[in-house]
Amino acid sequence: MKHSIAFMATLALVLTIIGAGFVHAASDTKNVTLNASVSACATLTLTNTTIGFTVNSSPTTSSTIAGSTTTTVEAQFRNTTATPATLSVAAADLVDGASDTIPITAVHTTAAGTGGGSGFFDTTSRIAWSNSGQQLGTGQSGDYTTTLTYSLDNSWSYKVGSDYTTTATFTLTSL
Amino acid sequence: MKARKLFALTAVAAASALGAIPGPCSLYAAGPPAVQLFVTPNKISFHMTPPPSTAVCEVTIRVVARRRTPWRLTVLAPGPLQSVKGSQIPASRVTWKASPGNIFFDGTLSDKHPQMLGRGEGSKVGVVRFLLKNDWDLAAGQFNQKFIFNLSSP
Repeated sequence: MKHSIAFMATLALVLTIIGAGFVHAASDTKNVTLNASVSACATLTLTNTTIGFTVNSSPTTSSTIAGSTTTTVEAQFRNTTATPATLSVAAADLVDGASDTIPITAVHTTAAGTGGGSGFFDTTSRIAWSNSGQQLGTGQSGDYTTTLTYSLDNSWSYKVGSDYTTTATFTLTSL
Repeated sequence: MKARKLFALTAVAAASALGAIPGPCSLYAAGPPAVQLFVTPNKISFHMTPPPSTAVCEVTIRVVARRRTPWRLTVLAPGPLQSVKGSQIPASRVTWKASPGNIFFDGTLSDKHPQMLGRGEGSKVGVVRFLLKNDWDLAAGQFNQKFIFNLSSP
């Protein structure tokens, strides 16, 4: 009887120890902290940067003159704030050798598309340029591409045989 | 006789107690754990170059387990990568490539469900390269998140 109790107790202890080794599931968890530093940046790319207008018709026949080519504009930027980036163009009036001028507001561009993604370029209208800067697009971080088509308002005041020129500056501003 | 009876009762009580207490309180768990996970380093950084590009960082995974002890390893992000200004990068934008391929698997991070990263038996070592696609649509900022690696054995 005594031996029997001692044997049973010892057996129970041994079985418990052995059993514990087989039935317990195990797990381990580790955390890794991740950091990513994304910098603000902006790139503006223009192709075909020389545009010509040949005015060889009267304003009665053609109220606008089409530009000789189009410009592809790619605006790539990443904002650091919620303020949208803007693309604007500014230019002085066109002037010839005799100081005759064509106001820059006679030059217009039309964007073929908003540029993809959430949209950037203004396609709602034919945009007249200005001396102080005319906005062509606005939007949030992204990569946007469009094609600008040019036109010039025709006028009786343009001097025959003159070459009017100007230089336009496109500015992409990302905050 | 009393001493023997006392020993017997003590042994029964001890056995019952040990069987009833699971996990770390059992005699088994007092020794080395059945499976252990080591991930190094415990801080990683994506070094972003101008877009379009892909930033890469890697960790080494070491699973220590008894021979033929099966295990599975998962990884989870508790949320998107978050900047202090409130901008986010979805966790799913992070992918990984793992090796050796017969034990550790390639995948895409999720902040909803743990994703399977590896499965095997016994001790193994692997390397996981995390990839973050850097495009113009990412907001600028400092983004942080933690990855939770979980190793389990049935």
